[in-house]
Amino acid sequence: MSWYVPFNQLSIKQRSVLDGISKQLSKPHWIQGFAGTGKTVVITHLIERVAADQPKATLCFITFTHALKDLVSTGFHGPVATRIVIKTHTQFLSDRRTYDYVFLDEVQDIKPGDLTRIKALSEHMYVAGDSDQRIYEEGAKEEDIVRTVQPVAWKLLEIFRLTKLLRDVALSILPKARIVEGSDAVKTANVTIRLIPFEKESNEVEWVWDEAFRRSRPGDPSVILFPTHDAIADFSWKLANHLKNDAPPRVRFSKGKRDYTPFNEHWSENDTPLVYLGNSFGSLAESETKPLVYLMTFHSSKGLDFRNVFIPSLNSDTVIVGKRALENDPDLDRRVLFVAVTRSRENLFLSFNSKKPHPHVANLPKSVVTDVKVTKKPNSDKEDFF
Amino acid sequence: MDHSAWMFVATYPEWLNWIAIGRIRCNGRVSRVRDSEDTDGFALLMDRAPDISIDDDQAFILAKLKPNFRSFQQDVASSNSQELTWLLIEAVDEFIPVSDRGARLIEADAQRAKAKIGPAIFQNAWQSWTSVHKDLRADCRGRTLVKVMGLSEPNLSSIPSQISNYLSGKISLPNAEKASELRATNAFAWAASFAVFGVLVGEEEKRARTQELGLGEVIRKLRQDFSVKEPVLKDRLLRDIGQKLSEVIQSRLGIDVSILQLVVVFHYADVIASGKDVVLHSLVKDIGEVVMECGPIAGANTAYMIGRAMDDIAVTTLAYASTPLMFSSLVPGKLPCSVDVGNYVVERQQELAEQHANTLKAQADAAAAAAAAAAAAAAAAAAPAMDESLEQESIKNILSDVNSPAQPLVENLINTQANELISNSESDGQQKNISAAEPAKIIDLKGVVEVSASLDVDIQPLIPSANIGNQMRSHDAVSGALFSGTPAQEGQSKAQRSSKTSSSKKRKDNL
Repeated sequence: MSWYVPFNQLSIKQRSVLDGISKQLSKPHWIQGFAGTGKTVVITHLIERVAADQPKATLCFITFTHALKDLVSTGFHGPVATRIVIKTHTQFLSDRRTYDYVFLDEVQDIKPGDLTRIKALSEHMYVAGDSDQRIYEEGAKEEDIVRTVQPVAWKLLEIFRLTKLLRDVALSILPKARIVEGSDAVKTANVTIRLIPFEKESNEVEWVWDEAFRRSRPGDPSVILFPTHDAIADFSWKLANHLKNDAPPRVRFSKGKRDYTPFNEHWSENDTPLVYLGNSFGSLAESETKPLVYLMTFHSSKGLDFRNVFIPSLNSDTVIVGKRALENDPDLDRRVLFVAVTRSRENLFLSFNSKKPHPHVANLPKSVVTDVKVTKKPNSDKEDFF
Repeated sequence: MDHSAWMFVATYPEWLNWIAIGRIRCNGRVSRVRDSEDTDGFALLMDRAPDISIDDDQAFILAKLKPNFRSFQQDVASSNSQELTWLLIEAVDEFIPVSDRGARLIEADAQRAKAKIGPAIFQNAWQSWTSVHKDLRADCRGRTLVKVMGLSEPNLSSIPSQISNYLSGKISLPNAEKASELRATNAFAWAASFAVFGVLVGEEEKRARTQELGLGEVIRKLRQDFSVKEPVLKDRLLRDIGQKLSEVIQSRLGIDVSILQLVVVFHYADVIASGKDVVLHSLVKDIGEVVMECGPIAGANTAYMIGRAMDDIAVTTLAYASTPLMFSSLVPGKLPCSVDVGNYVVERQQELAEQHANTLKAQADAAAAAAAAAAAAAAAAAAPAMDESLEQESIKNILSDVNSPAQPLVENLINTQANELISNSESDGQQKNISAAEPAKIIDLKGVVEVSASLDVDIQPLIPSANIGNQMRSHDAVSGALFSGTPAQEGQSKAQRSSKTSSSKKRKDNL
């Protein structure tokens, strides 16, 4: 997956942020911006610049997820790459090693206490993130970040990854997204966002799988996103039934985390191009050579993007975030869904199998969302291609 | 802006410096614009601006100057320049962003710098100017690619506007939703071309041909084919289908539209839009096939359309690497393969000529063997009492006699036709009919046996020779990650390429 943007293709704003931070490296900085504005891209250029200017300095890039760590590692090249250590925040905290320069992505998802500990292990600290995309109840709020890091804030306003339609859908889900004010979608591709009702869950599973696989390409995998691991398990069982495969093994805990190894092996043994991606299971590199469909949680998909994103089972009673978490943070489920829909670079397929869709997608602007009714598949001989 | 005003255009970093320092070098960059609808005046102003990205609404800031701005100019006497003129910040009436989006992008910096920003009154003029320049840039890319590939000048006036609108994406393809599902597969280009065929000939004809040629089945198979890095014209069967559809267009509408050319353009536009690498080797082969099937101008037009769709950096990298001596200021790079279509066409024609010669030789050998057998039978009938050894000797002599008049004829035929093919490929492009060669005659003891070159021989089609350069260029520069050299299944495509080619009517240089 190519995500790295070479310097000569950075926008004026991105370059000016890069220049501005480079001139004041002694201060902490915070790169803010809507999903797809290139926060990670800018912080990547920053770390390369610091690495070049400070040949003896130790540098660490901290990501929030394993998937993002794998992705970021593909962006660094040349001698500088060998000097940049990339860790997840949990690895960084457990290693307890100090670095001269620490670059922390997705700062809003780090617990305030962890943020303080990361700062203590950093001589200089630069963060990137957007408070509107905080998807963990315990993640750092804007005031926590300001208090702990005391950064100079920089705001990126051009949205490169999302089309205008996707931006509008994201805003409809999370109207409070303040960072969006003044942000513009640079991409103008003409895409359609679909909201698709199904009478039965089995029909939905069948359609989502067929469509996701049909649209996946080598180097351009499709992704199906779910709010919880239970939802992934449920979908997988029904998919196995549709494909007439044995049911996938139940995902069990091992060393304190869910072990998806047997799950992924099951699909591989059944020649089904389906992989769970997240928490260090599955790999984006697998999709480079063959069409592949990934299953991910909303949370694990943070920081990644895909051409075709499917979000099924957005039923009226679907629980995106637990009740207790919502009591403490009433907008948390909106933010989590906001993160999920903004993973799409081009096509977004929202679907449900209840009478009405989930309240957060029930009132999406009619001007940007196409209500689609899936009819029975045409006889393959009569399929009209042109 | 109701009245004409003097304007100055600064790049974004210049603007920030201007505010910070209070003055800017302005030599020759102040221009008069009548009003916000004055697109010509605006274009004149912008054409004097530094040549930086025009894709970014934040790239430039306009400064509307006060009527007496000259009193805020400073001519600076400098030891090395007599013409240095500074424009002081006091000369500015207001700063104007080029668009509403530009206004939002500069808002934060403007607030920090305490700069007053007016409404984006030149938005229409800006869009018109950038549109013209984007088109100019695309045109340069197209022409550069044509030149790099050693092709003749494109003739764009020969492209029907209806077709060029589809090729350039100005008009969405019919059934665009379905087409989008086929992106980044080998089905896309064919489906898109069949769709354009349908638009041209009408629904009824389209339906009839779809059924007759099994086009739906073709697409169904190709949509699982992700090998978009290979030549799109690798499959002979598909090429024959393309040729047939082109003939239908010609017979129904009287216009020359080659489906193969549409396929090549749609394919590479899709490869580029899907973020895949353009494999140079495949591109050269596909353009070469278009040149051979449809002529050099058609090849040039095809390359031009693909060049327009490519990235600036990709095209310039190709140009630098293909003629490194021209760019003495740049470190020479190296291309993974020759990009000269002429070389490919010549090699391909030689390959076809050899195939043809081999076929003829095999035919002649078979005829000679038949004649020898007949002679042997005649000799046996003439000397039934001869002993075995004498018989064999006699037969050998007879065979030798029989072969001697025929053999030079056969060889002559083979050599003539092979030379003709090769010379065709190097001459001015006039078509010569290979199968029109006089049939070879072999003298049989019993009479005359005719060996026709048009019997059961796999004859290659006529090849209009390409009037394109075939000079070898030194490719000692590298384009790095922008291009790949050869597709993975090179051997396979070559084998497919060397299979039988159709002798159907050639398209003229139409596209």
